Amino acid sequence: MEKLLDLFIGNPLGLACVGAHYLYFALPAWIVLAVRLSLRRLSRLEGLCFAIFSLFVVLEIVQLSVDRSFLRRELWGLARYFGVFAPFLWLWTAKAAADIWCAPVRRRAVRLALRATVAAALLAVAVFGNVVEIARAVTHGFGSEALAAARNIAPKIRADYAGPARQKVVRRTGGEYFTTRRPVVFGNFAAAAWAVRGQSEGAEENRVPSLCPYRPDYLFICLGRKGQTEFTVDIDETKYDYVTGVPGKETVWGLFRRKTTPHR
Amino acid sequence: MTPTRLPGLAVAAVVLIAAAALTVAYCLPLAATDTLCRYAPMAEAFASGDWSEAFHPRFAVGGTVVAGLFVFLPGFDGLTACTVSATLAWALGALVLFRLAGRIFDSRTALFALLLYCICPQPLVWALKGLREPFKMLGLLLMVDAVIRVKDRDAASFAEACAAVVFLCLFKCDAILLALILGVVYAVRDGFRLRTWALTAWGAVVLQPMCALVWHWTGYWLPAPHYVPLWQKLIGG
Repeated sequence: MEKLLDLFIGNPLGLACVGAHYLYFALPAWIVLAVRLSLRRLSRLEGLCFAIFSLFVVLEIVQLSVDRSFLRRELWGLARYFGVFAPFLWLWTAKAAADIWCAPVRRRAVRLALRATVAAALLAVAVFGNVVEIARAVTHGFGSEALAAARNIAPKIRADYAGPARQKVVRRTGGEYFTTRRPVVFGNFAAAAWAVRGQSEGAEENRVPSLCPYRPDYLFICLGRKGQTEFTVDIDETKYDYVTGVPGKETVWGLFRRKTTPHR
Repeated sequence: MTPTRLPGLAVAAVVLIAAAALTVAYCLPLAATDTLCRYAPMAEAFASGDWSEAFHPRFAVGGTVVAGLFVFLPGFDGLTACTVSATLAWALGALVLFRLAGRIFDSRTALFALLLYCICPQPLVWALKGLREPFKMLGLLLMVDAVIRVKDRDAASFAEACAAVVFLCLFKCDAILLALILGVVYAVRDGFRLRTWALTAWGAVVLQPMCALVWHWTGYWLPAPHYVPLWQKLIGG
């Protein structure tokens, strides 16, 4: 039943989300495709390219459905899987733009108006799309404040951390892998882990081994703004000890160590 | 089908955009969690010769090796190396898309396709974040271009297919199946001639490093650990 839900509800919903992500590029492409198909003007190469694009999408759905992760993934994750196929669809968006740009219109004013429309649309996409996307990436993907504070504390964590030498046996797949010698650092931003050259990822129930299949070794959390007299942090004190506070540019950060983390 | 030559203007535009984007990325680091906590430290580990840290069952080896080389040779840190290598793949992808659009339609459409690729925020942001998607995109574009021009039967189209196999098989595990299917389409269009078998042999060679690592980690000679549970389910073991 769960598989059926994945297949008939989850996947189309997910695809709709991803399609919406690229709507301003994808919509003209679908219109051009529909028109060229209905007029029987689709060339053999176009047909081949479209068939390959469709095949990509179907195969990706199948692959993501095998481990039933399609429904679990958020839009950002899905966009990364399906977005790589988008340039094939843009071929028809480009065709639309090129056809409008060079439309055989006799009146110069109309021709100029058509070209201005194409140019304005492209400019709008370029400016708003990139500005919004980059602003989102800057504010969510990184945190310069967190990085500054993490750089201050990184040498201390590296000196403090004493193990483990290796992570053993992943039962689902057997064998050993040795990539968890770096401390697992959780924080408000992944920048904390990068400054320590550590890792930052939660335990996962995937069928493939996770990078960090256990509890974080260190928590590096923003306590509040500088000058604040009292801080309230929701940390399980039975599992984590407060190690030290670290000043950032405008904020104060606290380092907590798991009680069972091997340290010097 | 009229192959379109790359005008210098298109190449210059892509190089200019990539350079400007890298400058922006240097001033405003955009790295994603995946890059900060996985790819960048793995690239640094590769450059320092710590291979047990550099490779992990969840990730194909290509990204680590390429970014690792950027750490090792010019001496970038891991984050910069991931960003630079992914942006390079993005820029190459733009040029391949330009050629592909030129083959299918005409040079005017090719220029618009190039423009759309350059102004779409997602692929460039993926590159600036140091993710592996630009490599996968480049591999797909190269392979589709190779499939379309297979009937030209020249050395360049075969080289393009070989390069595509590398990008598809070594950078993202989920692209291996796509490479396999595209290989079948290539073979059918080629009429199963010698070059098809040469490409198959090349693909088998390219997959071996990953197979060896998966065997080391899991005991199965498969091109990605993701296939192990499926193998266990279907074949047992």
